[in-house]
Amino acid sequence: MFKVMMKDLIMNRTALVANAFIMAAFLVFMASWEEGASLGTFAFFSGLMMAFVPAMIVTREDKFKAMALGCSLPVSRKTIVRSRYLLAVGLAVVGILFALSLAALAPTSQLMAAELFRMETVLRALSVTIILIALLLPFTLRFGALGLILVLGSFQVLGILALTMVKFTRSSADKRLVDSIIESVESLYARFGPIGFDLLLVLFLAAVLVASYAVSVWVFRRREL
Amino acid sequence: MGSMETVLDVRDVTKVYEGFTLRDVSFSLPPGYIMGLIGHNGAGKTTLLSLILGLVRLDAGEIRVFGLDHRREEVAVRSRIGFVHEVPTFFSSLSVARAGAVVAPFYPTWDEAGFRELAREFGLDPGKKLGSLSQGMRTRFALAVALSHRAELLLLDEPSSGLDPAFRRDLLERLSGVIEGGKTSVLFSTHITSDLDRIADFVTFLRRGRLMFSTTREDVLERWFLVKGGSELLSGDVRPLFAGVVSGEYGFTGLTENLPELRARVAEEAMVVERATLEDVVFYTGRTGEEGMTLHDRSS
Repeated sequence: MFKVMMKDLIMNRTALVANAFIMAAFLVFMASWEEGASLGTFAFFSGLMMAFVPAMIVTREDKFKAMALGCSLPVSRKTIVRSRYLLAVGLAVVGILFALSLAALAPTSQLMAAELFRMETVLRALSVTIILIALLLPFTLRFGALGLILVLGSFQVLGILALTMVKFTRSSADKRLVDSIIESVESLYARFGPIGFDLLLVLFLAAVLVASYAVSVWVFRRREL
Repeated sequence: MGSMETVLDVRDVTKVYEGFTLRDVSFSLPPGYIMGLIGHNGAGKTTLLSLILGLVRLDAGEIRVFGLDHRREEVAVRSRIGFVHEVPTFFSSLSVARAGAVVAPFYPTWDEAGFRELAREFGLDPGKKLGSLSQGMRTRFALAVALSHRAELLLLDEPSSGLDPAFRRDLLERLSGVIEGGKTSVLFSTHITSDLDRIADFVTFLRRGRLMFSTTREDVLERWFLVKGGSELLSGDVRPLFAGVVSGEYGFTGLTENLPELRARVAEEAMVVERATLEDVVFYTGRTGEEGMTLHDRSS
């Protein structure tokens, strides 16, 4: 499994370094933005950006037709998927810590270093990344770059449909949905306390990843190259 | 031939795509031999090699490699296979040395010194990026990788296309050298029949997804004949004896494997008979319609 991870890291080394520079510039800009810098927004966007790194590895493989190489080597498809998930989570953790460190160290940053490294901030960013990875990887592993476009395109269409529906029906269903999610999260927080809630969140993220992994193994075994 | 005596055993393999079906293909390859897979573009050569490598799924049939099921024992099977894909599958930004280092850990039998030596022999600069190599040089690289882990079965998809004549000849000689120990076998697809004339022990011919024959090269050359004669000979019960015919103003040239029957029906002096080459077999059988096309499979 580590051989596959090393292969992916070596084959994508230049792209990963180039992306790290671009992301760093954007993150420093976000942390330094006087009117817009907030801990929540920063954590959300850090997590969002890190989620696309594993998808990038798979879509680059698709672009270079290198999937056929990986699947011709003496390694099972299940192992390939497992290594992708491990690499994705590893890169997410490293990337989020990198993002938070940048925000803490940038001289122009508007964010407080002490707040940045609170468990709540790290978990918030990690939640965004893991949920997106869990959603993106089955599609990218099955369809390559097209899978990424499918997911993003579906989100766009769903968003447009939802907003159109809300506008024409003059309904406040969207607000009610968001409010009910926030209320549920707050009630869970009140019930289990900060440590219990964090633990619950970690368990939830693990379950999401395991479910996504199972789907990915199933679809990737059926992928024809 | 039982599966224990063969390196590769393909039985009744079928793969259905929209608009193309590879149907009921069966053949086997014993250890220490070279088999050429020939056929026109779109005949199913790459599909067949992809099926053996497990890149695409079988719809029916069975493939056993080294006596093992190619899907259930995929890791054990692929650790003993070397491959050259028709399309380059390495990232173009990697150097020759780096790309070799990427695949080396996957093979316990990897010979790093051997890889460097092959790279040198093939004129591959270790520092050169794969993206800057010509197609022929990329094939050389893929072949160097395949040979460096002492594979027992080499699957090569059109390895000689895009190569200059000198290197093509060198490649074919090298493949002949690879099997000398009797442990390694080679299955390579090509549409250049002269490659098969040089090195193939067995020839498997696919046409539109159907197996036309899988037999020894000698058998093909002994079985098939080119017959030339006047167009009037093609009337009646003579025409079905030909697998393919080209008619012209001054007569016809046809390919047949039924020479004794033909001789019984046509006077010897009315026709000219020559031994057919592999190219003739591919050319003439490719000209006929679907009916009566399936030739005898003599692989089993």
